[in-house]
This record gives sequence, C-alpha cells and structure tokens, in this order.
Amino acid sequence: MKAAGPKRSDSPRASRRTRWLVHVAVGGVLAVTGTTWALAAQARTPEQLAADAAAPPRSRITVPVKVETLVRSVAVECTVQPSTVVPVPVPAGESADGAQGALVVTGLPLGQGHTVAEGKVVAEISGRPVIALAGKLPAYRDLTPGATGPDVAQLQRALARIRLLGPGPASRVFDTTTQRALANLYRTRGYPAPHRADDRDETTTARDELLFVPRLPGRMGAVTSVVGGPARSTDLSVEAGERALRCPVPDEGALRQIRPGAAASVVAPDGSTGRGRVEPFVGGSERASVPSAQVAPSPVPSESPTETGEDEDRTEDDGDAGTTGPQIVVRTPKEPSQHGSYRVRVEVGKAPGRGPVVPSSALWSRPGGRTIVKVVRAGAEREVQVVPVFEAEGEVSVRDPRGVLHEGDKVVVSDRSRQDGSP
Amino acid sequence: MLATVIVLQGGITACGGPAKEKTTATSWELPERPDPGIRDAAAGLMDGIGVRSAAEEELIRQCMTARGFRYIKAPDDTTPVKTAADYAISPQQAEERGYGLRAQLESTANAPRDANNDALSALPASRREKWQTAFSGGRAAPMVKVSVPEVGQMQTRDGGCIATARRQLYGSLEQFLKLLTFQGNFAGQMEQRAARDPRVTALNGRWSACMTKRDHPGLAEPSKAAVRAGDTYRSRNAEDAFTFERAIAEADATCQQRLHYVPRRRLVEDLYLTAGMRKYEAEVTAVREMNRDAQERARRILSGRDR
Repeated sequence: MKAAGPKRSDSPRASRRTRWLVHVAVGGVLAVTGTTWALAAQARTPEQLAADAAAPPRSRITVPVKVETLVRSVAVECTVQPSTVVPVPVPAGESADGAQGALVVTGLPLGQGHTVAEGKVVAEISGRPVIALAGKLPAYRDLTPGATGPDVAQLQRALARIRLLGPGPASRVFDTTTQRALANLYRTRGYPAPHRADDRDETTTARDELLFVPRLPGRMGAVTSVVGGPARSTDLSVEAGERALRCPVPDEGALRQIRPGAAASVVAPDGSTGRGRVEPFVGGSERASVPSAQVAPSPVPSESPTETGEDEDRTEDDGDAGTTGPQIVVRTPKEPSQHGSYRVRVEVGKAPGRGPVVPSSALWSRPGGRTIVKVVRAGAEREVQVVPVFEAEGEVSVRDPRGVLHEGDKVVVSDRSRQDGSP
Repeated sequence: MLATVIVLQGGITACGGPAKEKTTATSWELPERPDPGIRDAAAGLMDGIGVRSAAEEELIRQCMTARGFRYIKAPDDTTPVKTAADYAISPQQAEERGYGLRAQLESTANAPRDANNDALSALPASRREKWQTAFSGGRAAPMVKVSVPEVGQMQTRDGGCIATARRQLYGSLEQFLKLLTFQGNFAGQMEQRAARDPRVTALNGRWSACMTKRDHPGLAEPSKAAVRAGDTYRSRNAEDAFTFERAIAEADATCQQRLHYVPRRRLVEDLYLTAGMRKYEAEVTAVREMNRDAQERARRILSGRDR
C-alpha cells in the first residue's frame, strides 16, 4: 500500500494559475477596502452635515484695559540745530603785512564744539585775529574816531563786560577811551590794534575782525578749515544759544494741530528717550515758516539762517537733504547733541483725564445708541456700558459710569460665535 | 509665519468654557526696520476674498430663491490691495502707454451692467419693493453699528438675504462688518499715515520740484500726476489726452527714478505696515481667524456640500 503524500503539481501551468488566483483575490480585497474607505470618507450623517453648516467654533480675542491719559500726537523727525549760526567773517583782500592775495588760515585756537567766551579769538586769518563779542548787530563798518551809532554802543557794552571799559551807560561815540579799550583788547590777545592808515596812534575797528554773536558764551560750530589752508567763511562758524530740535512739518493738517507749548516725547538717534516742549512759533501765533538751519552764507547773524540755493540735481540726488517749509522747534530740558534724526511725537490732543482705554474695535453698539464693551471675567462675558470720550490711534478713552472697568480687565475684540448685532 | 509670531507675542490665555482666548496688547511705535515680508502679510489679510465673495453670492442666491425671487450672482470684482509705491512705472512703460488710463477707461466703459438692477427695474413697483426687502431687509431692518480702528463708525442693515448669507458665512454680522472693513482699509490707512511721515513729505517735495522743472507744476505727489492725466480725458479729445498722459507719466517716471522714489517711499510704508500689524495684532488675528473659517465654509458652500 502506498502512503498518501502531498500532491505535487504536475505542470508549471497549474502553478501559474494558482499564483494568478492569489493575485486576483488580494487585488479584490484591496479594491473593496479602498472603495469602502472612499465612500466612508465622503459619507455624511445628517448630524455631520449640520455640524459642517453650523457657526464656526467659538474663539475669543481679548485685549487688556489700560488706565491712562490717552494722547493724540503728530510724529515729526527732527535734527539738532543751534538757535543761531554765525559764520566767521573773512576779509576780502589784504593780509597782515599789507600784501594783497588770497587769505589763509593762520591759527585755529578753538576746535569744533569748544566754548566761545566773549573776547575770545576764534580764528586767525592771514595773521589777524577774529574776536568774538556779544551783540545782535553785525559789524557792518569800520569804526573811526568820532563815529557814533548803535554799533559803537554795542562795542562799548561788550568792552565793559570784559572790564576793558568802565561801567556805566555807553556814550555811543567812538572816543579815545573806547579806542584805548579796543587797543587793550587786541594787545591782551597778542595782536596790534588796527589803526588808520595815515595815523598809527588812532585805533580803529576792522569790521572783519570783530564777530558779533547774539549770545555768548557759544561754541565753535563748523571748523573745516585747516591752518595754512584758504580762508572761507563757510568753513568756520560760531553757534550761539542752546541747541534745540528743529522739526520740519510739511503736512499742513498736522501743523495746524500743533500748539506752542505742546508736550513732546523724544527718541534720540541712540534710542534714549526724553520729553520736550514746542517753542513759541516765530511771528506770534503763526507757525515758523523757515528753511532748515544751515550755515548762513553772509556774515549777518540770523535767528533763522537761510538755506543756500540748491540746484535741481543736488536736490534730487541728495537723499534726505534739508527741505524748506514750515517747521517747529522742540526744546528739551537737556540740550540735545546727537547727530542724526530724533523721532518726536508732539501731543496735539488729550483725553480730559486719566481713565480706562480700550481699542476702538472693542466698542460695540446697541440699540438706542448705547455703547458697550464686553468684559471677560472667569471665562464669562459681561456687557458694560461705557461712554467714549476721546479717540486716538485706534484706541478710545471711555467713561465708565458704574466704575466697573479696571486696569488689566480683558475686553473682547473678536468673538465670532456670537451674533451680537441684534438686540 | 507672521500669524504665528502674532499669536505668540499676544500670548494665549486659557479660559473657562469652550472659547479659546487670545489676549493681546496694543502699542503704536514705528520700528527701526520693517518686518520681512510685511507687504505680503498685509495684502494677505484679503487672501481668498474672491472665494468668500462667490460663496456669499451663492448663499444670497439660495436665500432669494427660497423666498421666491430670482437673483443673479455678481461676478467677482475684488482686486488686490495696492499702495502708492505699487503704482510706479518705468520711463519705457510711460512712453508707450502712459499710466494705462486709456485702456482702463475703455474697460470701464465696456464693463457689464448689474444684471439684478436691470431685472429689478423690469419688475412692477410692489414686487420690486418685496425683492428689496427680501434682499436687504428693507427700511424696517435694524442697523448694526460698529467701531473700526483707523476708519470710524460703520453700519449696515441686519435683515434680508445679505445679512443671512454673511451671518452664515462669517458667524456674526457684527464681526463681519468690523473685520471686513478693517481688513479692506488697513493697508490704505497705513499708506496714509506713511504719506504724512516727514520722510515721505520731504521726498514728495523733491519730486514736486522735479516735476515743476519738467513743466508739470503744482503736483503734491506722484498719485496726483495720474489724477491730472485722468482729468485731461474730460477736457480734451482722447488722442490729445493720451499724448498728455504719456508726457506727464514720462516726467513722473523720470523724477521717481532719479529720486529713488519707490524704494524710499516703500521703506517708510513698510515701517507703518509693520507698526500697524503690531498695533492691531488683535484685529489682525481676528481677521485671519474669521477668514480661515469663512474660507472653509465658502469652499463647502461652493462645492454644494452645505446644501
């Protein structure tokens, strides 16, 4: 008797058929599974459909209430400018030994920023000094013995202040006493006094050697000359008066809102902050309408120096070069000194007092003209009636008649799941 | 990316109940530098507006149909938000087609009429009034008023199929009005703030001087040049107006190029956009959330899965 063994396939054809059947079966199972999955993914129960169509899930965005005095401000960009810039005069013509020719700088006793006291030599040009004295009137003529006038009085007052003339009212006459005092001024500074060409004993003034500056002490401004180089009035200047921030305000609307005395917050180029105040406008109630301060080309001192003319190419290509137009002056308690732009915000409006401040988007209207904010406490919303009193920069200072709002309370800006527009 | 930053800056405070709560703080300071991609982020507030508008139209149509009226859906007329710095043209473009105003005027003249208005005017008066009531709630519908930062008070009627559609799409009519107005005006308001910035006014001053030297005096800023060119089409024949348009556009483009106007102005605008996005972080987050959910719903509505 033969033992029954496993039945072998008799041919390769039978083997291929078996494999084919296995593949078909596996493929079928996969196809059915895929189809079922696809159908299931598409299928929606009525509940799912309702959920899809329902309002979006609740999400609430809140902002904390601040308590402060809300301020509306105008932003301006300012640069540091002295109140006066006086160029050092350069005489046309003659050097110390009387020779004609180009004038050269022969001495620069003070560097940029150094203090200029009354009677100080600020520069030496072709061997002759330029001496700073305080006075608003520029030296517009050479004084000769017997000359009278306000410029003589101004000189006499200056000489009296530095104790070269006795105290007392100025005689307004360029007399021998004044001549002696003037000669002393020159001598004590190491220079012979100017004199009349025909009489060496008679001291005169040389208008290019006396630099009258409205207020002293001041400081050296531009010192771009070098000893031995040509003397040019644009290369040397004396600044007088405290430095302040000059801020062009080309936007007329903004300019109209700014009042003299308005408070300002100041951010210096290095990021440090401070406070300031808008100076009274030039010409009473009118806003200053002056160009950016530059060194004046004439020796006439000016409270508002004028800009040199610009040709089109310079104007177009000079980036953020100074522009003409209205500007304000902001005075800070500590004199500003940094180069670069100061960012200044001038207060132009203010809430009547300190109170709760919320974003304007946190205000909601209710029928009857009521305005409310929605305060969230312990997860629950509560409507609080408020009265908007002042709006600025997307925020509103509100009066809260019941005194319910506190600093840090969260008010709702967005709460999409609630339909609160209806009563 | 920016959305993430905003949410993280604001912080997320867990709150009782189902509501997710995000608390944000506000401030208004110009940054030293603009955030990278800020212009795209601002324009992105309007992303998908076309899809949502189409869904709104579809919902209005369904609602009007259910009330027995015919409503023809309006085509999508939304356009990307542009700021002044986006309007710059090259001197070559200016020479060839000016500001492109002639083409714009022609396309406006050929714009399709409002089909609903035409159909409505054909209806008898009583039926017309019922249509209007079904559409917008009529005069009896209450007003919804909201305060929108940088814009002021806005109001709309809470009634009819428009309100129903918006509520269905956005969840809240009040929120819709507040946030849609905000997102639609945000970039423009920041541009206006930038236009008052001393750096931009100084730049405009130099541009104006440049234009004066090219025989176009009295223009405060580049957008006014395009306005002047457009006005010319009312006072001159089309050919002369086009010649003038090309001339002023060429001068404008040349002045802008010489002054590096666009990059300079764009930088300042970007600073204000950055400051605005930070200042209105809460509103921006709310806009994004509202739009994200409305977008999902709009797709479902347009694919017919919400019916």
